[in-house]
Amino acid sequence: MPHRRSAGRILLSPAGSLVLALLALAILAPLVAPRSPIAQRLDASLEPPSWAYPLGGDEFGRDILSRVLYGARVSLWVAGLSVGIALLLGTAAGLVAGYRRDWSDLVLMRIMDALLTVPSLVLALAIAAALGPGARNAAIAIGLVYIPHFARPVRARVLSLADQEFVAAARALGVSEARVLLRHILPNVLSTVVVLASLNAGFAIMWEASLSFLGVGVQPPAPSWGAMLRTGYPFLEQAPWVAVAPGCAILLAVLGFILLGDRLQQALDPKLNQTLSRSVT
Amino acid sequence: MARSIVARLALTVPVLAMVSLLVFALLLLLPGDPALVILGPDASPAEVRRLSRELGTDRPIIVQYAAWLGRALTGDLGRSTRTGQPVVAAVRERLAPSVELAVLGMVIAIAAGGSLGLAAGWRPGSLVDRATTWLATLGIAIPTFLLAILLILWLSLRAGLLPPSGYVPLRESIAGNLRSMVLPALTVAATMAAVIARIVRASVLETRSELYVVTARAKGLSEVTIYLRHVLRNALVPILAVTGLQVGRLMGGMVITETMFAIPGIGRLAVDSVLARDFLTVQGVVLVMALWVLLANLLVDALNLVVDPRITRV
Repeated sequence: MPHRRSAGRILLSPAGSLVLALLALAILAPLVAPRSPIAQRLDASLEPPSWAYPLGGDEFGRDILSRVLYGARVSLWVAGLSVGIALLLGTAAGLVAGYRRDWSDLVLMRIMDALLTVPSLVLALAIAAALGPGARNAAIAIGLVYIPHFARPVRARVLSLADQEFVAAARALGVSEARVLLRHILPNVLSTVVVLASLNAGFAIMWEASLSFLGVGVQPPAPSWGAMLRTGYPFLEQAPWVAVAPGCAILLAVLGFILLGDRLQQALDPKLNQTLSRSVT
Repeated sequence: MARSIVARLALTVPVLAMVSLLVFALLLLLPGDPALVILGPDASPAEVRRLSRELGTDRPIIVQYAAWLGRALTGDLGRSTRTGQPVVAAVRERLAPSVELAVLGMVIAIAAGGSLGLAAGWRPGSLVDRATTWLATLGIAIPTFLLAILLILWLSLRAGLLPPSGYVPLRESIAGNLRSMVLPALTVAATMAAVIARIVRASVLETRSELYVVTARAKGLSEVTIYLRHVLRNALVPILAVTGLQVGRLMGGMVITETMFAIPGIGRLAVDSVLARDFLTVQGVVLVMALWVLLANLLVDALNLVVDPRITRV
């Protein structure tokens, strides 16, 4: 785990501050937002950006700034839930598979191969559609699809750790398998998991927006960045700000998390090569 | 070499079996009686009973899966509940535009990403390197639909260079077809190009310091020859591996791109079927895309054998 000083440096880096600002705005949305995110005012329909409407108004005259701020809550909630699902199940699968190296490894890894073989957006789309619309189901779909993103790198780390002397020593002392995994191996895998969590949070925000853009994820009138783009897109020519504002929000949020992941990797796990490039699916 | 390819082929069999289970399981995720969900609330009880029997949902899951797999292997994935057309025929009809889009996108991605990565790796830390690294990160972070919107806004609506959407079949007009494919192909290529640029740069930087590169330099070879013949060639294996991994991402991008540019491919079919809750077609599209990715990965493995003859283990 990082030194306390380097942890502070990472949080204050451009990527870290971007993520912190996003978190703060999402939490403080009810205090910061100038208006209600769903209140309609038809006389302000497609209002250009002004002092009263800093980012303009959408087709129903709703304040885009307020919707973008509340949309951050949706995005972060989905990202948190989906990464949580993928992290728990994926890390557990990777630990067991990498440590046991028996039939369970074989079965688990073939399941991961299969999950990786189906394009992740398509699989998330199909799962989200089967479960039904809504932010929670979108998060479950994305989380399930991302399990191998944790399972495979964690398994690779465990494989190299399992041969090391401290593990052999623990086993020789008669420590139970569960205890070896949780107390001796897991702490050494955590840095990998932290890096992956940050990267995948970025991609989860991107896929939630994509699902909502396609009409499968978060449904209107709830303010989700992807859904805002879906409804604002037809007005691209007359009122580009309706689509551009949530678009920039998505881009900044995704960029923040993946740059933070990259930064964390350099600090925690410099040997883990090109994690970002390998995580894009 | 032939033996490694056969071994690799044998390895895809269990993956294929798992994929089939996964595709089959999509129906199990549906809440309630699948037949009722698929047909919708307006269906008559007789229709629901008929589809239940067809899907076999009244029997144990193992039996259902075996029956489904048996039919799938003979090319029967059921009929679309939206159009009544057999799923396999619907997918086959939509394949051509998607294949064209995928091929164009990959060619652009490899050409653009490859040259950007090589330019960045030539002088690490230079302005070109830093600009490329930023561009590549942006390319990874930008969602496909946002890039499509920006391209339509700038190149089509503002500059009027290209049509904003619509698809012209290759048979009708080659020029018209290419014009209609420029923006979609650029959209689909962006993320892949970005990832390729990053991985080419990283791999090139890693091989640069190898002893055989020092030897080549000592022999008095020109820097360009060393870069392309010795550095790039030895960096190709990781580059190929990551490019293979990107095929799945490319297809995810195609789903969004085809929807936005009104291209009648399988990606658009996926979205239309999902929105119409036509799950048998969704299953078909997922299966075809998985096969596509498996084939691409086999191709990458074969190419790896050509590039690096030392690879014999799978």
